[in-house]
Amino acid sequence: MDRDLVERARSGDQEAFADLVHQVSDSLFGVARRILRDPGLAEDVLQNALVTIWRKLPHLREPDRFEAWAYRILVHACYADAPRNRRWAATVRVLPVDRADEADDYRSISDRDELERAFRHLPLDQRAVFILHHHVGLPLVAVAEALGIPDGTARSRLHYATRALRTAFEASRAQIKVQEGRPA
Amino acid sequence: MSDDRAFERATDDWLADGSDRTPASAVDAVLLAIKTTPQERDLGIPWRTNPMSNRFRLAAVAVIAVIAVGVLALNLPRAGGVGGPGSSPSPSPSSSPSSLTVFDTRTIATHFPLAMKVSLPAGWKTIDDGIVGALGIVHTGDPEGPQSTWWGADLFLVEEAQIHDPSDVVSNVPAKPDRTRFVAWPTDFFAYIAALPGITVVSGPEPINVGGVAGTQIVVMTPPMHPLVWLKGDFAWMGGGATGVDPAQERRFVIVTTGGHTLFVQFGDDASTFDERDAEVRAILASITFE
Repeated sequence: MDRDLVERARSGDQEAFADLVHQVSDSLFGVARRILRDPGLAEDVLQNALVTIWRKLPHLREPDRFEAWAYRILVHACYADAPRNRRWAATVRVLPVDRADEADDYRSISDRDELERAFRHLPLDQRAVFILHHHVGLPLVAVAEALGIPDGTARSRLHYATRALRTAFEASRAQIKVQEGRPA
Repeated sequence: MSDDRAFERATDDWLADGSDRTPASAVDAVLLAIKTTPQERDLGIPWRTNPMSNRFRLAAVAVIAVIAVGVLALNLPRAGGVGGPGSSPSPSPSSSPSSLTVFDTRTIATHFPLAMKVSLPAGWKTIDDGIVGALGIVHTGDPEGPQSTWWGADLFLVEEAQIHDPSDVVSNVPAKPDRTRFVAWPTDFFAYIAALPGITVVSGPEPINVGGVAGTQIVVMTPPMHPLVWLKGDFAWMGGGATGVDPAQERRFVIVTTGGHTLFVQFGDDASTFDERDAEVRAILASITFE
């Protein structure tokens, strides 16, 4: 991240902030979409988060930490907006067309549907840790710092999220084996 | 393929699903919104410099009276030892007949783990920036005035927070975000603050009762100085405005330990208006109940 850009935006430069938005919006949207499992809601949350980032930029003393700070605001926006919109959250997922002819298509679809179902049952705080670690690629220490939680808490949340997803994955594979005529 | 690798591949495939391209309309909406959205000033800074009008003083006195009645009503049963008013959860925020709004920190438990309620009169609100262990209680006016006229107190949870190195904290030189200037929280904060150069103790340290819990408070006059607190896990210190220097102020500090947490309250304002505003802040602090 361009430190100078952050500093200019922090001092009220709207053009600098626009450049920042273009640099980080896809990454933030990707995180919100994965945590919330609803692109429409993720778009709303992203907008709220970016405006919050603009408003609160003068609070940021360490421009080098802009991205981690932005993730924190985004995740809190997810926490804030998800409950209000839960009842309207989309439950239908469109499968990518280019995967339809793959040999292991059935297994892949089954795995992803089970993972999706399990992930939707996770608390948002576990989802956030899982996504920041596995999708963004932040080390657990950095996840903890970004979210402002103790390292042990981040580790614990990741453990429970991973365990739930692994259980779902194993259930998917067991079901496939049964359907293929082999004992699970 | 091992189960572990199969699981990793499956989660990778699943996570890769979909597009991360932000819709252009979303970006446009944000860039339009910021044109009319002012940036905020810091928590922990003196929000206001304009002296209050006589009309406002009368309103403030009325507000204090309302708070005092509310606080009295809240605290009498506890003093009588027949249970506390906060023993049954109530919706938050909610309004009582005396127009007090009750803010329940359990609504922000993810980053403010001390469960408590605080009653705010009209014209006050909480500021929650999602900073772990930080909550602002701000007088905004009713209807809300511009931010340059806001003032109020900061509430921090001290857990693993650091404090400014006493050899460096009193200064009017713009500060840098240098964590090495912060040291471990002192075992006796009141001794720490009283011993800083240029500090004059106005009153205390002395006992204070917050929500039925015994705490300690002190009032001091401070010269221009850097922000005191750096909360663990935060990206910033608290206060100091754009330059990292708070002006000379009169300040009240309160520390209460309860429920495994240490609540640190600071309120600072220009000495000419401190007493008047401090009375409102103290009334709000007296309304706190721990859950």
